[in-house]
Amino acid sequence: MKLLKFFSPISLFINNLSAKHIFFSSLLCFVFLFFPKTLQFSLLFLLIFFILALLKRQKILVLPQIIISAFMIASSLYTPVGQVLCTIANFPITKDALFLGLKRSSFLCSMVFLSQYAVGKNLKFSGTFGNFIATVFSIFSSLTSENIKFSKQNIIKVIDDRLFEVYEKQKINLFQNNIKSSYKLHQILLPYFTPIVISLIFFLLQNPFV
Amino acid sequence: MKENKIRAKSCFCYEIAFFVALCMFLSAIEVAIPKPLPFMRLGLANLPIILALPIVNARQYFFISIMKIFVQTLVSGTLFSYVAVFSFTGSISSSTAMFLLWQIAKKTCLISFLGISITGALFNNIAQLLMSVLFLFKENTRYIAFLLLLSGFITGVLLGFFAIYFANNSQWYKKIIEENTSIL
Repeated sequence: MKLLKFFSPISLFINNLSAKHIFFSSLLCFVFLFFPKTLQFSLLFLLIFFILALLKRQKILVLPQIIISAFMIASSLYTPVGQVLCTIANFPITKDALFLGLKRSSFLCSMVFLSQYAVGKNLKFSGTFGNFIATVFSIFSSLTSENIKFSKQNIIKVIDDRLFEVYEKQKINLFQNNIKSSYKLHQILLPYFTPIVISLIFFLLQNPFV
Repeated sequence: MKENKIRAKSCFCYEIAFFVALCMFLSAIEVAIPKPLPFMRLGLANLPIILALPIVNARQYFFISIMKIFVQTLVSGTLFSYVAVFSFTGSISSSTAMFLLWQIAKKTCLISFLGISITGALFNNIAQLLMSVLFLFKENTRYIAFLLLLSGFITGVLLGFFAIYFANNSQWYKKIIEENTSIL
């Protein structure tokens, strides 16, 4: 909490930024994640993105990241490389293998924290893609608006009734509000998916875990 | 009639958005189901992908698959992470396998949603294992491979039976098929 208080001006600044600007700047940061080749820089990036995510969300889950990091480091240590640092129950802990494990896990955790920083509640997309996403979220919101009471006999019946009801209601809603319900696929995919696909290709070509 | 054909060829409709929202809804339900290990999932969110097979064309089908991953990772805050890369490769490979199998099967009627579901689950797991060999655990992936494939097969069977039962009993699905056979 003391850390959050220390960074409170930055937190205020981040929360005043537009959700869309944060999203696209994070996309740019995602590409920069591939550049550090040393462990020190990877850990620095991890720290920066952790603080940013923490400042934005105030609360983040770290346990899943710790578990996956432990698995990755253990997997890396399984193949001994370099100088032996110590031995635990006849199992040698080697320097290069440990550093490699740390580097891979810090990269993975950086990506997760960056994602948590990038995506916020107020994120709204513009244009055709934005309309589509808004329709999806509107349907999802209707599907989850009331609690579903499950019992052993009627699980499928209850889900089906809810789907039928929302399907009809939302369809009428779309027509009444004159919301466009059909688009060309490339209108949705191109503007937003092009940078994401480029980032993915970059990810696959760089193979940051080697 | 001509307008309907154009609509089917170049557009996506309200139904596509509904299928994507259903994927989100089912993944929310899945969170509530207890799992023995974090990576062992029932894959309920794949149900709309299976159910959409008789309704949509190839472009619309892959569009649903991509959007499913996008909205799921957007909601869970893992859009720029390895989770998204793994989900993307798994879903695209399973969707491709299921779609190709469906194209062969719909003419011969030799395969049901059960076979489609098992194929999809296995291709999803194989793709994720390959990604794990390339990026995460390298050759040590072999220690989790059997467990992952076995769990994939079991969940594929369960989801396949669920899909058959749902398709035969759901009023919503019957309606959506009736409406769309007149369009597509």
